[in-house]
Parts: sequence; C-alpha cells; structure tokens
Amino acid sequence: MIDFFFAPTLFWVLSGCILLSIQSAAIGCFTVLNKQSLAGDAVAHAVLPGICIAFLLTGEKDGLLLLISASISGWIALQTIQYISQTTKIKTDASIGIILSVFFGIGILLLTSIQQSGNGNQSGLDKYILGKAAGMLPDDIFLLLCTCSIILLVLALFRKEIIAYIFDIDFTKSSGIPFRLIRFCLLLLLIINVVSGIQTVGVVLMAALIITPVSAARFWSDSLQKVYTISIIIGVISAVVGVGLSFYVTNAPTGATIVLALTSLFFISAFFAPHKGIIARLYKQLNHKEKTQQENILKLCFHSIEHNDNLQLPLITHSEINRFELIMNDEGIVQWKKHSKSLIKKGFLSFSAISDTWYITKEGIARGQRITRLHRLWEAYLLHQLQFDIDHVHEDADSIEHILTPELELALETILNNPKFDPHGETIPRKYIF
Amino acid sequence: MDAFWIILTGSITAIACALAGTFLVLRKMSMLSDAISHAVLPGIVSAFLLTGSRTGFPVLIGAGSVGLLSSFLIEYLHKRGRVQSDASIGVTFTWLFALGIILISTMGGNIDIDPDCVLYGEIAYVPLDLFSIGNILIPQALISMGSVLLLTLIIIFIAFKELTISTFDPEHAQSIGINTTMWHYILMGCVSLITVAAFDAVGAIIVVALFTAPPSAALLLSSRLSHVLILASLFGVIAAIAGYFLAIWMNGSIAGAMALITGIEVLCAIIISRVKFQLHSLAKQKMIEI
Repeated sequence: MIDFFFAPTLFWVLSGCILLSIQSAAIGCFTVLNKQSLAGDAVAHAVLPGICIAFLLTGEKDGLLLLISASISGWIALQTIQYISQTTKIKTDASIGIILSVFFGIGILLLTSIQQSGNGNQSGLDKYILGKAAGMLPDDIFLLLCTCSIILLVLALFRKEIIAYIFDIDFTKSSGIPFRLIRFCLLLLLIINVVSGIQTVGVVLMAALIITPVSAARFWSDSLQKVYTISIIIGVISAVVGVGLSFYVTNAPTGATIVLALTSLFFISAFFAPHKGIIARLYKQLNHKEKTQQENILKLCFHSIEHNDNLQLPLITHSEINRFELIMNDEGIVQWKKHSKSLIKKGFLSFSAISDTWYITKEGIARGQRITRLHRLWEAYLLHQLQFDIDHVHEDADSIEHILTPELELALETILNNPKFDPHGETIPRKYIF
Repeated sequence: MDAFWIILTGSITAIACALAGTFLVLRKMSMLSDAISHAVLPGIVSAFLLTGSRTGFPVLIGAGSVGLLSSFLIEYLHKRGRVQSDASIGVTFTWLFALGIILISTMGGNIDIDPDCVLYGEIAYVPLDLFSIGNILIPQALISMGSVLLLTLIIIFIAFKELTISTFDPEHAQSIGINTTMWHYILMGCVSLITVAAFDAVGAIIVVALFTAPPSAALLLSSRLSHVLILASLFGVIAAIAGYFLAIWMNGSIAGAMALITGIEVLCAIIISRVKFQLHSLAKQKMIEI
C-alpha cells in the first residue's frame, strides 16, 4: 500500500485518469441526454487522420499542434455527419457509421504508411489507438487539468442555456438564446474532452467514459443536478478502481480496466438501484399483479353476497372456492391457496380449522365493495361522459378499478351526480354498508 | 497469386457486408454493426485460447454467438432497463471490447493477436494461412468468409419477402403472421458471423465502413431493393480492388484504403443524386412552361 502512494508514475496516472473521468462524465451527461452518445464515439475515431497529418507535417508525436489538428479532424467529421443526415436520404445512424469508419480507415492508412516509411520517430504514434495511460507525464496531467477546468467552468456558466437547448429546442429558439452558439460550445467541449483523453484510453474506450457514467447515474435519480453529480462520482470511483486493478494485474491496460470498473458500476445500478433499477421495477410489477388478483377475489366474494338481503358475513366453502377458481381461471388467475394465506395475513379473510371454511371479514367485504363500486362508477363514466358503447366498458373498468384513488372516486361521483345504477342495471353499492 | 487471394477475400467480405448492411441501414440499425463488431472480440480471444486457432468453424460459432448475445443485451437494456437505445449500444460494446483487450494483454505470451490489428485487421496476411483442398491451396479466411457469404445469400433468397416486409413495415409484417423478432435476430446472427469471419481481414472498425457505406451509396442511387443489393455488392467489390492498389501505392493498410474508397463512393453517390435531382426539377419546370 505504501509504494502505491509513493510510486511517482502511479500518482500521475491516477490523477490523470481521475481528471479525465471527471471531465468525460460531466460533458457526457449533456451529450447522452442530447441523444448524441454515439457522436462522442465518432469523434474519438475521427481524430486519427488529424493526428497522422500533423505528424507528417511536423514530425512530432506530441504537442499542441497535434491536438489542434486532431480537433479540426473531429470537427470536420461532426459537421459532415450533420451535413449528410440533414441534406441526403441517409439517416443519422448510417452517417455516423460511415464517417466513423471512413475517417478511421483514412487514419489507419496514413498511420501504416508512416510506419512503413521507416521514420524512426513514429513508434509512439499507435498509442492513440488503444491508449497508454501508464506512460502519463506531468505535462499530460497539466493539460488534463486545464481541459477539465475549462469543461467544468463552461458547463457551470452556461448551465441554464444548455439545459434549455437540450430539453426544449423550440423554447430556446423563441426566447432568443443563441442556440447555435450553445450547440457549437457543446460539440467543442466534446472534442476537447476526446482529444485530451485519447492517448490515455484510446479511440474505442473513450466512448465508454462519456456514455457509461451518465447511463448508470440515470438509474439513481431523475433530477439533472443529481445525475450530474452521481455520474462524476461514478467516474472517479471507477478511475481509482481501474488504475488499482491495472497496477496489480500484470499487463492489464489501464483504459480497459477503468472501463471494466465503470461497466460493473453500471450493471450494479441497472439491476439494484432502488425505484428505477430492473429488479425494483420487476418487484413493483409483481406486487401490483398480486394486489390486482387479491382484489379480484374480494370482488367476487362481494358479488356472491350483494343480492342477499340480510348481508350476513358469508363463509366460503370448498364448493365456492371451486367456483372462484373456475371464474378466475377464465381470467387467467388461479392460486387460491397462495392468495388466501396472504389475504388472511392482511385481515381480509379468516380461516376456521374446525369447520374447514374461510370467512370473509368486514374489511374484506368493504374492500370488495369498494372495488365493485369503482368498477361500476367507471363504467357509468365511460358510457355517459365519454360515449363508449355499452359492450366496451367492462374490460376497461376491470383494469382501472385497482388504480383509482379516493380523490378520483369523489370526482367521478360529482361528475355523474351520484348515480344509483351502472350501465348494466346493477346497483352501484354505497359506501360503508357495514 | 497473393494479390489475387487478397482481392478475392476482400471482395467476398465486402459483398457479404453489403448484403447484410443494406437491411441494417434500411432498419436504421447501422450502429448495431459497430457494436457487434467490437463485442465479438472477447469471443474470438477466448475461442483462440480454447482451440488455438483464430479461424475455423468452432471460432465462427463461438464468437458469433457472443455477437448475437450482445445484440440481446442491447435490446434488454433498452426495453427492461429503459436505457436510451444509443446509450445502451455504447455501454454494451465498450464493455465487451475492454474485456477482450484485457484478455489479450494479460494472456500476453500465449496469444499472437496484435491488439492494434484488432481494430483494422491485416488482410495482407491472408495468403499466409493456406488450407489445401485436393491440389489447390486456398486461404483459410477465404473458406470461412465464403461459407458465411453463402449462408447470407441463402437466407436472403429464401426469406426475401419476410425480410423486406419486416424491414419496411413491421406492423403489417406482424399482422400477416411474420415473426419480426425472429427475423431481427436472424439478421443479427448473420452480422455476427460476417464480423467474426471478417475480423482477421478487416478488423472491428473498418468492417463498419463495409456494412454502412456501400449500401448507403446504393440507396442514394436506386430505390428498388434488388437493385440496391446488387449495386451495394458492386460498390463493395470496387472498394476491395481499388483499395488494394491504393494501399500498394501508399504502402499502407489495405483495409484502411478500402474504407477510404467506400467513403469516396458515398461522396460520388451524394453528388450524382444531387445532380439527378437538379436535372429532374429542371425538366419538371420545362414541362410546366410548355
């Protein structure tokens, strides 16, 4: 652990990767929300010809000129994508694919041509393809420090305008915000980010640093501020883990380990995030399905007694259960046993072991009555207010009856003037018979 | 003889890519080819570690199924996880590609895959790996690519109607009983197989040029699907031939030069379709004047 902190190269690599992750996550947040995730990928591939041409002209494999030339090449690529998708029949996805691969192909052609020509100085040029984080120098850190602060600063200064541009372009145009300038700004920041990071992680994995943090963060929150913060945190964590991993596993390239850490965090978020994660959502769906089925059972119980005059608390015998199962089977529901246990727990049913019968409690009847009431109110509403056909109202009411809130119930009553009967001539039960 | 094998392999690769690519471009799924071509890397590397060979049918099937799995994952993240479709492509392929790169680098000595070549292939080495049938020596890559092309052709011939309808009008296709999901994944399976077979020759990124550029150029020039398929294949072959000579002249990567030629083809197609459109509207104006 001690040499971890005292190895100077490792310190530079770690700080470089953290800076790069922060700036990529920050700009990525807006790029992804603007549905331009793959534009980042395209820029990353398209800078290659620029790098090669600058090398051919100057003979240097580092330096500002190389970065500027790379940026120009990326800029031309983005403009060409826009031109092709706006003025020809070719759609955006195909034009991104064409530009990305053709620019990369030109870059490779130039690169291999340079390598064959035997210029002794060229050997470091292929670091731009797969990246070499391990070779980071203080100069590179200084560059990343500059770009990172520029990106964060611009994003903070024009925050409102950028948000308006991304979420409501028409509003932006009409309210006089210079939206062309904003678009230019965003693309420029994206290019700056890609160009400054490309020698660290390479052309392919650059896209992951931009796309993955925000995709993971969106599972945790809906608010832009929180997504922005969370995606930067995710970026930093995976930079630290990735650099550590590449330090301990021999030969593992840093860029790839960072991406692996990043994607692990993404999958953890995708599955386990509360509320928006896949498992949470599945659980919610199952819960709702169970609730619907149990309410259907209570509704059937209520139906079987509503025409009795004395409204005794009914008991359910085995023959009645068979009848329920038959009806419920028709609706694709079975499993009386499973649901009865859960209903007993919730106090809607009670079971007497002596007579081997189930009783419905008052609460159970009240719930069944409420469901029936909502069902019939909704049918009446569809028929009288929305002019539905009488034979089309039942199915719709069957699904809405489990969702309507007491407020909506009250509103329906007021609109319909407290109706007595539903379209099929059945009484709409009043509240609280018991 | 080497030049002949290289151009032939390049042409067959380009034809297979153009045929499958036409459907991808029409379905607005071009970027899936980019995703799949990167995602097969861990499959290829692990197949190599298991069988000790980079070509041959076990590798084709093994790595091809990884490509198909990645298209499932993209669809799953989009539908179940509600990740934006472009973001789910980006997350999936970068992850699998990173995994492949780590495998290659850490297995270091046991593997003769050059990490850089993963991205752009080395078609010039195709004639080095020969396989003898009777008295004739045929490059290994040509055999696997040829069989994949044959499979693609068979699928397109048998199911031309199903593929066409589910491409242009998925709702109508479903209503007349065509299983659009199945055809989607059959197409993805084809794309995966083509990418794996083409991996040695043109690599993960240049293959995207062959998938997207010739079909796009053909679509600009014709609006009849059968013509587009033929035209796209023709553009692919031209790219293979012209790319070879350009690369020899520049002393550089053949795959890179092929990509450059496909780019030029798209440029020409855009110009031609522009000119055609101008002439057409001129003729229309004259008709009105008369």
